[in-house]
Amino acid sequence: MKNKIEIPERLVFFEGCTTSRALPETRLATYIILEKAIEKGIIKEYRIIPNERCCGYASMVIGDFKTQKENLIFNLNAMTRIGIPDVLFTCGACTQFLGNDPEFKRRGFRSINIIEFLYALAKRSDLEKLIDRKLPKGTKITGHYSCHLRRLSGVRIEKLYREIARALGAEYVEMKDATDCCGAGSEGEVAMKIAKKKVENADNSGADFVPLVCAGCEAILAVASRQAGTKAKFLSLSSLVVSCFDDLDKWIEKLGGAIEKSAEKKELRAGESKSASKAEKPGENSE
Amino acid sequence: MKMIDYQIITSGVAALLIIIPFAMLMYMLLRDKGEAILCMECQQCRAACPVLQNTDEYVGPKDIMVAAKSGKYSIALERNIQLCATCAACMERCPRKLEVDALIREISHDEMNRILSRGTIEYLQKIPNPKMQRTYEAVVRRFEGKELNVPWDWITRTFRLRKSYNPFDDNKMKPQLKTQAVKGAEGLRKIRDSIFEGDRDEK
Repeated sequence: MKNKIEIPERLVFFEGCTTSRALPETRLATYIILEKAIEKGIIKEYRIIPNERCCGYASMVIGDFKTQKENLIFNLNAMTRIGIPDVLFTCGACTQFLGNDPEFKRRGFRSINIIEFLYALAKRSDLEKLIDRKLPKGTKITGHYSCHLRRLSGVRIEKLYREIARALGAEYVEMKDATDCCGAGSEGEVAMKIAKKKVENADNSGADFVPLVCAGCEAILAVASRQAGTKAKFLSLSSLVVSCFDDLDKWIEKLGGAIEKSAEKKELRAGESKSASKAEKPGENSE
Repeated sequence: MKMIDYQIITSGVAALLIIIPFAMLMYMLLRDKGEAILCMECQQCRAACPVLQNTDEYVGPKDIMVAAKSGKYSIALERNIQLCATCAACMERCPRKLEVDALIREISHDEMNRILSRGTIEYLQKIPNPKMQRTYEAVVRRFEGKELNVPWDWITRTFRLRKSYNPFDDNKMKPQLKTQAVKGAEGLRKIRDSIFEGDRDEK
């Protein structure tokens, strides 16, 4: 069990495949939180991994262990070169899969999920410093306890959700079967059936928002709630925190362009795969 | 001069003769199967599994354990093992805390590759989304070409003529980044407005 969570001064931000490609809001919101934390003096620095690859979980699920190992070694080498031991994730699967990896542990890295980071801020009452206004009165929040974080990573997520809800000025309600799976790991119709049950439970609890900390859960539950037309909104925890900022528009303008630039920088920095990316470009155009 | 107590020595040797073969036998039994041999088939995991509640086509955690015990992985692999949601609900409910999730990873890689790729082709035909289809096609091509293209793969890789195709590589996704940033900005503004609807009217 991870009980003590300290806020590291320097971080590596691991975007993850689903967050960086399917969930642009979550990605931008996390960058905004980190940038504002630097401005307020809570953390000193954050770095991103140049040409970051998938954590390997997706490859493992389809049985491609070769790609998984290649990706793991690539990512770990890049992180070792940066030289910061604390890695921040916005996805439960990445947190668990890399965090439990023996090679990851052997090199002395530590995996931190975004909810653990925000909880540590809330405990030191830094989260109140970070946000400019609290959520409107009477807002109800319920938590979905991600399987990968609660069961496989040993994070006491129910406690963390309550602390963050208190800091944001919202009422916390518990939904029925909150520990049940969202179905994202499964495939096709079965996954949607499991997700629909989850969405119904969340709606019956009477909550307005369901902040999520796993990219897989967010991707499938957002679709399921849109299909069912529920009152409860499924969004990521970071975008809920970010919407409490008064100067959100300033940050969006500042970072919306900056993220693109960082992507270009990534390309320049990575000397190894430079030739490879050039070779692949003609193929992209033809598709 | 004291006499040596032969009785202790002989009894010790006899004990070792019994213990060593037994330990070797246990080691041979447990070596490949890991934790699976500890499964007592109480079916608690079947009750906890969210996938089994929604479909009958899934093999289920108990049968995966049975397959691992007997060494016949095809029992599990031919009955949609890929439907596993990796939620570890079975592990939580299990009285011995056995990890079926970890077991799936342990099951022989080659066999899994072969059978799962066959499953992916069938799955591919049902997918309506063309983007997803392209990714899966690439995955399937990679699996199928494995045996045929081994020398060609080796030559191109050693002389760095071509990087092996990786569907999860970041380079493939670069053109989307600009539109993604715009989408993210719009999405965040929408979320903010939906939360603070009432407050805006007051101001």
